[in-house]
Order: sequence, then C-alpha cells, then structure tokens
Amino acid sequence: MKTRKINLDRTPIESEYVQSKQNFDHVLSNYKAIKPTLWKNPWFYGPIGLASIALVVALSIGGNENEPSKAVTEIPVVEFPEDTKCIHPILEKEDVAFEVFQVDPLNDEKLQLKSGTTIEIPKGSLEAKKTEENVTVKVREFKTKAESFVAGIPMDYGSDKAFESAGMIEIRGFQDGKTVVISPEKPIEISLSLSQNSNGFGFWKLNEDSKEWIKYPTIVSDFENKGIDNTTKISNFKKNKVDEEIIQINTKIDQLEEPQKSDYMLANKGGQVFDIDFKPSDYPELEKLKGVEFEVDSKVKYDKNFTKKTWNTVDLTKSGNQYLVKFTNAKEEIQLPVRPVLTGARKEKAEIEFQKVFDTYNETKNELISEKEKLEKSKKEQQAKFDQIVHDAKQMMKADSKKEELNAIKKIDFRLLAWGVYNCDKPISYPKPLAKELAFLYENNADINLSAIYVFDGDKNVRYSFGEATRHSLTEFGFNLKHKTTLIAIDKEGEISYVKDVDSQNLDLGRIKFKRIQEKDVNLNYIEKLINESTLDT
Amino acid sequence: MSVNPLYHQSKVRLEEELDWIQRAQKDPNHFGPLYKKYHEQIFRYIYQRMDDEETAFDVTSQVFMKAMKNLHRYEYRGVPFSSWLYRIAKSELYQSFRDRKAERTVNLETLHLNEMIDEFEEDSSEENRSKLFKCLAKLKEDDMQLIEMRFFEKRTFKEIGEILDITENNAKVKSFRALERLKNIFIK
Repeated sequence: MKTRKINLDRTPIESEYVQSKQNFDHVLSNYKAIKPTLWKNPWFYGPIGLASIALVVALSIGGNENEPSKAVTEIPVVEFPEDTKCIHPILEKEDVAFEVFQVDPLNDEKLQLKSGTTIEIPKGSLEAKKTEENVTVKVREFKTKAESFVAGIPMDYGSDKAFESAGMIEIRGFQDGKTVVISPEKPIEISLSLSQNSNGFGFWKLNEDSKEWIKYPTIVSDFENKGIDNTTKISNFKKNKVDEEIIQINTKIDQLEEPQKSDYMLANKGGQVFDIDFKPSDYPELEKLKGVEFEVDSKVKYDKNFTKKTWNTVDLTKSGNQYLVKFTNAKEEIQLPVRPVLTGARKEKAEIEFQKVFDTYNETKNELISEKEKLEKSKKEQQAKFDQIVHDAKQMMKADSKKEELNAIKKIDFRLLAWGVYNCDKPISYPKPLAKELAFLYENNADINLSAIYVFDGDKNVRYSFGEATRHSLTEFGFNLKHKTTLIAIDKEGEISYVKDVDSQNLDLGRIKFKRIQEKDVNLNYIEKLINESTLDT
Repeated sequence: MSVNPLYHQSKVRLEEELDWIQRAQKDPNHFGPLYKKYHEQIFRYIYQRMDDEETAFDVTSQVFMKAMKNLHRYEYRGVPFSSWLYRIAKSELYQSFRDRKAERTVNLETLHLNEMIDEFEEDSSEENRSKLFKCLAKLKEDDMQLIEMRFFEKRTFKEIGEILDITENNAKVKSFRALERLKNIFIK
C-alpha cells in the first residue's frame, strides 16, 4: 500500500442503517459453505478419525438393525439479553420524568413541550400495527447537568473528552408495549430548544449499544452543506472543462510545425552564403540545381572572417547526408558543415512556396492563440462570478447567523428516523489529573471506599466521571481549580456524599472531605441545588 | 441508599460474553449475540479506513466468517472479545486493499483537526487546518494508525493496546511519539 487518501467531513452513516445491514443468517450460511467437509479435514485421517470410523463400523455391526436411528438436530434458540441499553439512572428511586403524549398515527400531529421544543409527526410517519389505535410517545429533555446525571446519560466523548450540553432530548414511541417504527419516507421533525446558542456545538445521537455518540445531521447544516457543495461541484465542472480545452489548444499550438527555410533550400536570414567550385560528376544531385551556393550551418561556431583569408584549396566533401567544405592554406585548415541553397529563378519560386506555407502556419497559430485567449477570459469571468456567488452566500449566512443571534433563537432542527437520545453538544477536554495525591474522607475522617466520583464544573454545563463503570480511573481524578466545582461521590455500598464548591484549602492539606446525603434528601431538586443550577422552568 | 446495579456491570457483561463465546465454540449457531453486539463497531472500524461503503460491509461479513472459523483457537484473557475481532478486521482490511489494489483511506472531521491543533497549542485557523491536513498525508502508516485510533476514533490506550496486541503503557508511549512526530512535521 503506497498511497493514502484523506477525506474530510464525510457524511456519517446512521446507526440504524448499519444495523439494518446486519445479516447473521447470511454470514452463518457462508461460514457453513466454507467449512470443509468431514473427510476433507486433516484430522479425519489421523488417529481420531480412524477411531471414529472403527466406532461407526462397530456400532453398525453390533446395533439392532430393526431400530431406526435417531438423528436429533437441536437448533438452539438464540436469546439476546433483554437489556442492551446504556441509560441507567444513577439513583434507584429518582429519574427524570417523561412527558407522555397519545398520538393518532392517521393524523398530522404537533407536540409542544414545556421547554418550547416542538415535535411534528406527519400522518403516516408512525408505522403502527393498529392504525386505529393511538401511539404513546414519551419525551424527556435534559437541560441541566443534574438531569443528565440522574438519568444516567453517558456524557463522555471518546477517551478524553466530556460533552458540554446545550440541549438533549430522549424520545420513544410504543404501541402495546412494542416500539413503533418511524417511516423513513416521513420522518418526524423536531425543533429542540436549547439552553444556549448552538454556535460551536455539534449534534449527536447516542448509540445505545456501543455507548458512543455518533454525529447526526441537522436540517440547517444539511441544507448549508448541500448548497455549497453543489455550487462548488458546478463550478469545478465548468472550470475543468475550460481548463481541458485550454490544454488541448496548447497541445495543438505545440504540435504546429513552423516551416523551415532549409526544407525549401533557401538561405536563412543572416546566414553566411558562399559559392565554390566542385566537380559536378561527384555530386550529380547538385549539378541539377544550376548556380547552387552553400550556407554554413548556423549552429556551428566558426570564424566568420574566413572568407577574407586566402586559401590554397577549397574542397567539397560529403559525410552521410551532410556536406562539408574544407579550407586549407599553409598555416591552417578549417572544415565547415554546409547545406546547398538555391539561387536565381529556383530560389524565387521556392521563396513563393515557402511564404505560402509560412502564411498558413501563421494564420492557424493566430487562430488558436485567439481561441485560447477567449477561453482564458471566459474562465476568469466564470471564476469571478463564482467568487461573487460564494461571497454573497457567505454574507447571507453571516447576516442570517447575526439575525439569529439577535433574535436569540436558541434551537436546533433535525429529522428523526429512529427513537433514541439526541444531543446538541461541544466536546470539552477532561481536566488534567491533580498532581497531589489526595485522601477522600467522610466528615468523621473515615476513608471512603470509592466506587465513583462525578465532577460538576460550575462554569460549564459539563460533568466529568471517574471510577468504576466510567472511562477514567480514580487515579486520573482532576478538575479545573479556577472553576467553581461540586463533587458527588458514590461508595461501594451505594452511599452518596458530596463536596459543594471545593475549597482549595482542603486540597492543600491533601484531603477532600465529603458530606453524606440522607436517603430522604436524594432527589433531582437536591442534586440541582448542590451543583448550583436550576431547571429552565424555574 | 444503593446505586443502580445495572450501571456498574462491566464485569458481568464480560462474563456474559464469555458464556456466549463458549456456547458459540460448541455450536456456531450461537454466534448470533456476538455478531449483533459487535457488527456495528467492526463495520465502523473498517469503513473509517475505506471509501466504499458496500465493500466495507462485505469485509465486515468476512471478518465475522473468519472469527467463526477460528473461534476454536480463541482464548479468553479477560479483555473484550472485540479486541480479537479488531485484529481479524485489521488483517482482512489490508488483505482487501491488496486484492482490490485499492488505496487506504483516512476519514476525519474538521472537529478532529481542530482538536489536534489545540493539542499543538496553535490557533485552529483555516490555514492551520489545511497545513495539518497535508501533514497527515505525510505521516507513516504506523503513526497514522495510532493517531487515527487515539484522536479520530477516540479509543482509550487500553483499547489501542488490545487491538495492536501491545501493553496499555506501550500504546500510550507509541501514541505520544506518533503525535510528537506529527507535531514536528506540523511545526516545520
């Protein structure tokens, strides 16, 4: 493998779609097809195989021939565990309540939640088995750290990030206790109200099997992406076509051969021409061209004053197709490559022919150049138009986003194709582990046999989790010392304790003292107060 | 007051998984729960590294077929069954590249680029994103794998170690060095 391709922001694939592609029966049948037959197995010819044959032979001889053989093939029923979901409330007696709606699957329905979130269920969206009966739609939102904590929503993203949430919703639909399928043709449209503007936040769906958050498209971002992509594609397409034409013209220009005077036996402008005597019998091809002269090959470096010198002998020779003239006197000898050139009427005729060809060449070349210039101009114009479109689109988007900010529309719209938990979030890095080793104690200085510690950052809507059943061990425990922080600890007996607004003095002493919560006090409101937040409704 | 036991059950899950494996070792028809549990994870691992979705589904099926074929060799070492599946997936993936003479693909999101630029303590400007994009193309395959698993797929060092069959600590060290090498290319 020598090359590597990098794709940026590929459209994510929905979990439901991947799951729809599961086909265990197909894998199983393929597996059975590739499994070698018994006699093809190497062990068959080994001691075990031979022993098996012997046993079969012995049984067939000794067995009762009248008794039919009982080949029982037991196909086991594969039972999946009932609970594969990952949302489990932290506390036994407290959870975030659902708002419950009865929806008629044969009508367009609009559900309005207390928070301002709206859910539009088009007619035919809920593929209920009993269309004449209502579908129960249960919805709950998690607007605060306390709510997502109490509900047991996993808020970690990847291995070193936690989500800061702007809004989260869980929605499910049932009829007779069974989940109702949502028609992919008629998705449910949700406009989720947020606790803050969604700028800088992403949108995610919880994969309840893997406990991972998977990116999920929103209606706005979908539209924006498609709009820009299509414009870019059109522009690129046109750009490529024009570029290709320019390349073709350049190739044609390169391929045009400029007529050379040498091909017409004409002297080049500025070429040194001279006349010499030669034996016509030695060069019959030159004898036909009466009055032929010779031009020195322009590529050769030579002393141009050689004609002013006195030479004793001047001889014409030929090496292959190349004519050579050798000048000799008592002091020196020079040899120059030459070519015969026409004179007189022949020269005039050749010149007329050469000019004709040269004019045609020039005409063709000029036509190609002018065509190329036109294409380049059109390319520039197209680019300018495209740049303007992009610029206008960006300006529009900027204006829209400014308008949205001004109107303080804190909501995000998305289409629902499957029930589950959807979240408008921003990943925040986990804090660095505290450098100092800490003792976790109850107020009476007894050690806490910790199961987990949850850190609630007062400056951000984020929770960090450490300990059992979390992605971070207790040794990684840390928090931002500059932020107002509340800690909630759960010990191995299930007892809950807390530290409100952690005091840095405690840290200096190398210990954190937790206060036990009375069982009667443990509820959502209490936790909300602990971590200094209140619901949007209050 | 007690904590909901379902929330703290990773060991229980591992034991349950071992039971499925042992049943599947005796009879492949029992492989179903393992297939259902890991199909998406393995598909996503493969699809992250290739362009063609259909081929990714085919390779995923191939991985499970191979797993079923070799299940009698599998030994439980107290780690999730997925580690073993990932190793088969890696081998099948590269085999598929060789068979189809296809090129290896890396899929990443702008968000990932921003996170990495943050790691380098630089501004996540368009210029820096474009620069990092080019640097990633220059990275050696071994380093790319580590960066991909750690930063784009958000795997823990423990999981990276299990997939690459190295210790957690070694995975940490190797990932750190890969990041350093990328940073050096980026800063130059």
